[in-house]
Amino acid sequence: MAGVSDLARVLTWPEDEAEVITELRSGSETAFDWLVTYYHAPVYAVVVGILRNPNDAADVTQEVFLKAFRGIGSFRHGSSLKTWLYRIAVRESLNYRRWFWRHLRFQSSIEDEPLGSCLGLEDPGISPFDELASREIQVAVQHALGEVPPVFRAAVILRDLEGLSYEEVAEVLDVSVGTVKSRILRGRRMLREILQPILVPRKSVGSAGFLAVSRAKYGD
Amino acid sequence: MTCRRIVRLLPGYLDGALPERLGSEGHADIASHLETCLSCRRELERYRHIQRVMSVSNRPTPPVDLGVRILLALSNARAFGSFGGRLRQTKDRLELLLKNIFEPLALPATGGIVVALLVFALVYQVLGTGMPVSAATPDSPTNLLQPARLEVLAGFQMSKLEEMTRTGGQHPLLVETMVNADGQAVSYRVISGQLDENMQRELDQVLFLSRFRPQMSFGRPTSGGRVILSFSQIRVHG
Repeated sequence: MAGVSDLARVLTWPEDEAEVITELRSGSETAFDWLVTYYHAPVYAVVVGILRNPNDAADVTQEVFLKAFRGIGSFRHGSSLKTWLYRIAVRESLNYRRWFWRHLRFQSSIEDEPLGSCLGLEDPGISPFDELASREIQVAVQHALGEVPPVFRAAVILRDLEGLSYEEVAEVLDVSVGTVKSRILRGRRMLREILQPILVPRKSVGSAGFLAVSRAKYGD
Repeated sequence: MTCRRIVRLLPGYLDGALPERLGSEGHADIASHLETCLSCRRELERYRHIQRVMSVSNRPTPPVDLGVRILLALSNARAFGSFGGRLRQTKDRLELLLKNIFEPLALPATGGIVVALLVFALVYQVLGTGMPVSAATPDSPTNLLQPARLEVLAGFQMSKLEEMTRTGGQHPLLVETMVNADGQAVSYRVISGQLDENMQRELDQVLFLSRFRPQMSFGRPTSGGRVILSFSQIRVHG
């Protein structure tokens, strides 16, 4: 990705997204280079969140951008590039999951590879002890997220991981805001139920409490 | 609202995702309930904790080459997306297919043509100029049976014979002579014609003093050769 990173540094994102959209519609190569450079990581994150397999996610992400390239003509004015790309990404991922379920599920599991290896951690100024604790909890949460059905998982990922507003999530998933709220509500509830065994009342130091139980669970 | 119902709504209470039918009163009801209910507060805390964990987790990092891969795929799509591009792609594929088929055949085919030319040149020489066939000298077939034949007839007086052939000339005298390996007549037999005693003596002299070439078998003289002699209209001059 060295080439793309360099490109990202050279290319400056224009202030006006409408300008980029016009460029994209006219088939400008540079505009597509921008699009790929700026959006391939967020799109990949959404895809990998739904598919839970880094290899498949890379292929699907590539397909998302090819679909975007072919379908730029049908881009609706008024929506943002981000929600448009996320919408393609969610649709492609769910399609891929469906296709995988029909054809390859007996060969291997789509969720074979642990996702924990590609998780990073921001530095919110916590101690190494807390950091270790948080990392373990993160892995636990990611595993739990994998067990939530894809429809609810997609909504939770877009809202809680990607930070989209309810309206944006509704646009991406092509459903009403009410449906989005209900899906997120159910998705979070499922996540909470799956994590039930490791969740303890946060009394003094929450992270330490989490660590104790998660260690017990994972046998460290 | 009961604790059970509140707990079910808590994940939405976090960021204003409560069902719309509850309205703002619903939010206020939950808030007032939480002030008094410890267990619901703890449950809310658990949800907050999960949210915090999710908010600090970084995005999964894409593979390092993903951006380049996508750009490459896009440039391919751009090159082969139009009608002309597809045509070019089909042409390229066909060329590659033909190349793959014919390239392995190139060397054998060239070899085959060269060999065919060589063979043709050799055969053409034979066809065009003809095969030079020369008889071996001396031409003596060694594997054949060659019959005996008369070489020199003895020059004896054959007056009676002459007379016989002149008078009763309509029936020429036919004599079969047996020849031995030395080329000498050993016996004879009259096949047709009449012979008297004088004539027989003359014939004896002539035949036994004449020289024959013996019968040859595989190039070597053998006995048992037979020579048929015909006497008719014999004239002796001088």
